[in-house]
Amino acid sequence: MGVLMRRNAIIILMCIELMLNAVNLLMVTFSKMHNNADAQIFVFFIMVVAAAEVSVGLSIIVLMYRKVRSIDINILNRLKN
Amino acid sequence: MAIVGFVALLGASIYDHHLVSVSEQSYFNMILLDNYSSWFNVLVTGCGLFYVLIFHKNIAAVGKNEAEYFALLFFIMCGVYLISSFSSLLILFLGLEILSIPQYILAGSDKENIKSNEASLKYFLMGSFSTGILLMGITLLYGATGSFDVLSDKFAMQFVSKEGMNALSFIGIMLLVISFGFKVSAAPMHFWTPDVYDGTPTAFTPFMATIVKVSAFLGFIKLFHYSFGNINDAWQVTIAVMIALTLLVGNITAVYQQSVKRMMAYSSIAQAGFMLFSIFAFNTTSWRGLMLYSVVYTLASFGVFAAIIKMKDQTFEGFNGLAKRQPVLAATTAICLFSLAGIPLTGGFFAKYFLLSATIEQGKMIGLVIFAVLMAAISVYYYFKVIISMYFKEGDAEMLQTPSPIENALYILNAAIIIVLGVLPGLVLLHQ
Repeated sequence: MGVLMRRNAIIILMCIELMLNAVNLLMVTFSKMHNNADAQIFVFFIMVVAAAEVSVGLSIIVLMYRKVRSIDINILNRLKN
Repeated sequence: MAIVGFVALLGASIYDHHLVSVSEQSYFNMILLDNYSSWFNVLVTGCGLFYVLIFHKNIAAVGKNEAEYFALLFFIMCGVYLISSFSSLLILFLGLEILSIPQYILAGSDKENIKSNEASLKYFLMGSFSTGILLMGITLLYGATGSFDVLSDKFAMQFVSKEGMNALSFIGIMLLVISFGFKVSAAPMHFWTPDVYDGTPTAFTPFMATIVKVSAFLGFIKLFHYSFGNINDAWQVTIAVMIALTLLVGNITAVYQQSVKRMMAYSSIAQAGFMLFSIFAFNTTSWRGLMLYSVVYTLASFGVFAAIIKMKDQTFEGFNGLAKRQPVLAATTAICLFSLAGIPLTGGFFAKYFLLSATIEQGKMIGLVIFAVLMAAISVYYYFKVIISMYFKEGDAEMLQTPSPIENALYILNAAIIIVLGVLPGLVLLHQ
């Protein structure tokens, strides 16, 4: 649950990736348990989508960094009106 | 160009709808295009066409890369079609992702504006977090059943009765409910909505708040009614609590807003509370009610945002005296606000009526229906605040740009459709 605790945007991103990897592992385990390869195909899809998501996310963080010179998400809360 | 694209899509989906006589599964049993989903595709594409017609100038004015904005809108539409016709959890996941990722980009498309950047980052973090939860739910369901196909025998056997179900599938369903709450901004998971909708360029907010939201609803009503229908006791209480919280938070907070755009963000939370009734009530009336609600809510929001995007000052004071300067725009905005509040003779009344009567038909939790009606009465207050400042207050309502005659004609057409649906709601209801 690093997503809820950490304040650094990149660390949050990494924590989300960890969540997805946990799902991947569980998928493969269940797939072995049920003797059914569906879930292993699913894992490939998760990997592809996660890669797409990270590329978008990192570019958003870069955009943010250029503006405020920080990737601390507390700064975002200060910007609230 | 984009308009042509949407017209082509509309034509294709109408053709599809005529083609589908019986529901059938295809693509390795991963796609199920039935009567409801093809009709929903027609409706949502029609709304998308309206969106592009009304807002295309504003979309092009957001930044330098106008071609990309329209391309991203079409990617989102692709996700909408996948969600509306899934029968495998894999397709549901892919559809939700194709729907979400372009939205993160659209939210941050105004690169020079710090509020837009903030909205984009917040939306991205919340969205990908909820994706993780969704995937965990899907995995646990797979562990419990051994299949991703929500219509398969394996799924049906696991979910015959509440007693026959194991803890794995129960936790899986709850995780799906949570991630679904994130996507449609239902109450305990709504906190990102106001900031994101407020920060996103005004041209894209109506698309995010309407078309994306209603298609997430269609995906989940399909999932819950088709596969978890027999065990509705297990999740209906959770949904009921979510409805109550969503209506309460959305309506009460909307009353205190100064900016009309932020007020619309909270009102979209409140409207999501009403749409949740379609999942709660477990019968065909709720399906038909959701279709009607989607169309009416989408068009009415377009009408209000069309006014917001033209205003220089987006607070309530900024709308003072709009009726004198732009009578057409003020009148159509007023009709759209009436519809959002659910006043009779507009589509919003029948949309709310169908969803609430679906709940009464089911016979559980009538108190929730009474609560919803009370909340609708509160919503009248903040919607009418806009109308009062447009019609009864003196001011000069400074505009960024004045609407052209073509745009005025579109606003009138939009408002006319809402009124026609208020008199003849049967037009968008599916007759089986």
